[in-house]
Amino acid sequence: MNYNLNTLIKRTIKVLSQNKEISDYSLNINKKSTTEMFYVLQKLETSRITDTFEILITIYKKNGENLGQASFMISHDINKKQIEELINQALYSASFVNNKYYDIVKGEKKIKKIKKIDKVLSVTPFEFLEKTANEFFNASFENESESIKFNSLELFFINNNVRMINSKGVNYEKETNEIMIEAIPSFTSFKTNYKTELYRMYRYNDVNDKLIERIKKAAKEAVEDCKLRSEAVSLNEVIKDDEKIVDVVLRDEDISNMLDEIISSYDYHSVYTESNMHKVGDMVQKDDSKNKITVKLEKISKEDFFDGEGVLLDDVTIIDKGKLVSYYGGNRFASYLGLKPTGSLPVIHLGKGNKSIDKIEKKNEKWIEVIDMSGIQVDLYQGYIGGEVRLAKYYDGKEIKAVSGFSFSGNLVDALNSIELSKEEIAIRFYRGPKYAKIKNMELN
Amino acid sequence: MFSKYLKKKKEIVKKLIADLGEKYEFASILATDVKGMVYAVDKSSTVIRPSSVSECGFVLRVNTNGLIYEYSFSELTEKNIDEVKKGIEELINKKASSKKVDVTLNKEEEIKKDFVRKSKGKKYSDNEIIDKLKELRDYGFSLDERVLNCQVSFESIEYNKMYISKNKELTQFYTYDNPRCYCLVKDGDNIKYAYDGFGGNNPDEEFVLLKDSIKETVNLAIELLGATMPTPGKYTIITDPSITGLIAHEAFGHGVEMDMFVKDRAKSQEYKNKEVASSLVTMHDGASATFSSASYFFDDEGVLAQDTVIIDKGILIGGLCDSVSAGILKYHPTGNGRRESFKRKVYTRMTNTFFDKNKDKLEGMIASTEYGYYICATNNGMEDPKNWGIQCTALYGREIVNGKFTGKIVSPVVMSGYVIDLLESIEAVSNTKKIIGSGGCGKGYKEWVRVSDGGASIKATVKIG
Repeated sequence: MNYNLNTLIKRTIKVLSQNKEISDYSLNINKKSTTEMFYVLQKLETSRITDTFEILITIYKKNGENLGQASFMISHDINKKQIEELINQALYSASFVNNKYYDIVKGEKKIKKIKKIDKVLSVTPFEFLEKTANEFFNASFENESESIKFNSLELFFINNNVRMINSKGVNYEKETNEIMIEAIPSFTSFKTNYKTELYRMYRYNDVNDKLIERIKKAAKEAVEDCKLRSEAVSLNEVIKDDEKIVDVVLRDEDISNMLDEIISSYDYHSVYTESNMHKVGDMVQKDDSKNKITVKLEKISKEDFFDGEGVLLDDVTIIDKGKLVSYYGGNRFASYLGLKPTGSLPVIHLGKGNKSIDKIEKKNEKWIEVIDMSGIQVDLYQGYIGGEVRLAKYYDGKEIKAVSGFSFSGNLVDALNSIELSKEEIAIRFYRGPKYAKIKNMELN
Repeated sequence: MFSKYLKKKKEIVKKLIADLGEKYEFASILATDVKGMVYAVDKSSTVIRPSSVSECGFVLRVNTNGLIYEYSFSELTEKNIDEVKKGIEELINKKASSKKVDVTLNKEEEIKKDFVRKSKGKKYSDNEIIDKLKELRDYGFSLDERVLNCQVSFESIEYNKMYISKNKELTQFYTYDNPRCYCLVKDGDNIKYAYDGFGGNNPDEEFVLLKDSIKETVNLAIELLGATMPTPGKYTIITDPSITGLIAHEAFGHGVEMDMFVKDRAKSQEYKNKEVASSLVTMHDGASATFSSASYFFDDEGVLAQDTVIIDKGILIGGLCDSVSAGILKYHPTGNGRRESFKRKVYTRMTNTFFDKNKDKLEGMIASTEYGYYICATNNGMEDPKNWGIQCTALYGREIVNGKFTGKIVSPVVMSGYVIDLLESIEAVSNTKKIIGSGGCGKGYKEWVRVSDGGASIKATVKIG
């Protein structure tokens, strides 16, 4: 859809520049187009396209020694008079905001990085999503006694065009593509009418023709995991009450969520408000921990080179061999702390371990490998880690059994001190690092 | 009052629907102009920004060839109306190789109506809101020297939506506010937090309630400095209304969203007219079931608000249904078709979900507990509609021994188990209820909409840890 966005942006900037009360301004322009397909019981139900935009405008106003700021949104074409009205309203709001002064991000000359859809795929988004659906349906199966099908499959091709402009010379633009898939592999036994399912969400930012091979693999694994869940028994059937302290092996998504919580108190805002758990230079793990972790924050892709404040993104190491070496965060609180802004870096990169999963899941010890959770629960300040497990593999020292319907819990600090990381790695949208991490002595319930 | 922008667009929307209506069996447009602002102050900053629910745009729906086609776009003018028509027709003409569901939407009743619910009380200026919040923040800090940060916020939302199809012309305007507070306390290296939030459409009352809320939140955070983690096990619990609501929402709310029936994803479809809970339990959902954050007049498919009884005295009797699922299941839509925004698809979604009150006194429920916990303050939950697993996380629980609180507090409290076991274990339901209208709900891990939940306090048995 041609929204004449450039004309609207130019008109807005002209009004902003001419207003003497405004000390600085910024515009975040997001233009998004998607193709979406929704399947029910492996049949197409809904096809959707979207073509939308939003412009978030922030104005800054010097209030004596302080800085006022207020934001508003434009999501359709408006004339000069309407823009002026919105700006005056925001100026009025900003006059009551007296934050400590900081400079907004200064721009650097940067080559625009534009990636066009027709260059990343040899087929249309609609055709690619159909191919994707077929990979899932080909992975499903049905025989005389049972079936595993994708009872719900939602496919999204997302193209994002993001521009960031401010009064200090920032004028950056990036275009990114993403494939998002929500898949529900579902098992049915025709003999017993027993049914079960798993929830799977996949997000890929490296969209190209070869991606279909990864999708094919993901679909096959989803079916295998669902089959495993159909065979799962209640944990209480295979474990005695006095054997419920066990080492737990977590997989990628849960490792990522655990780390996300652990580093959450090292952001500049927490540091500025003195709610950080450690200071730079402190050990995050005990000195005698055998496996020291290294955690970096990274951007999603090379195209993702700036954030919403116009900070140019570079990867940053937060924890190095168990020691906190850097805080992280946006421009404003970085400025207050006198530190360099790292910007918003969404990907957690955990350094890999030196043992394969076969060595971590020892043959002479009991362990649980969690395949699917309701959502790992981590409370940083209370030191809690745990959650309800929907599917896991339990090794009792002799054989592996699929188990479900239980929860585990333990101490987060102890978990971190005892962590063992696999040398097998994985990359999902917001996590890169070991596919497996073992934490010791969790209590099963 | 109703959005001038949408008023201005009404004729061109009608023109588009008339044009498409000649060619296709069904065509509708939902146009939205939701204006929300968030005002927040804490120790180090003041923020005025658009709320995350702000949206403005159009979604066109066509039902033909047994499929649903939708096009979401930001602008509709005389200049681009042909482009919109071309866009939806190109989508319809794409030949999908896969099998089709074959859905025909139910015929809509003819109705033209404008709904309005204005904010009660005084209209506060930005200046007045910020001043109030600063005063309340300072009050929070004044309560205890261990308060490290006290964030107080006020979200004010004006919902404007217009739904037009061949048979319907509906507009609605209503307002809702969400005051919230978050308090962080520190004693040595020990840091703890507490939070609270509620909703309404009378700022005068809300600012008064927010002061009480801040006091309770600071006191709770201080108390949590002495919290321990619960020992995993099975316990008798009594819930505060927020946890009752969380259980209602996760245990049975998601399970009766009938788009899950279409996908054979809900175990509850096998339990219609069967016992699923203690006979003390009656559960409702509906935009008109109570006044709270999801009390709209019509849903995002132009279906008027309703009050659905899901569980009546322990028996599952009703489900929630959007229009597409109703078309497939040959059922009736219940006013639960909701979108995250005009940019997203409709799903069956909860609105205001709660357990009705019964006859027990809360004091008596506590007094009759030999050992257990009074569980409070929703944190998060996760549904599992096919397998009826449940995970509900609360901020804290107060220990009860021999019918009395011991003063011991545990945090966090992660409850899990099998839905039916939990609901059938309910042995008492209190004679008072409260609905908390400050929450959000996702479907899986996406599609966030505002919901409320709550109800009476319940006494049940659940696994913790």
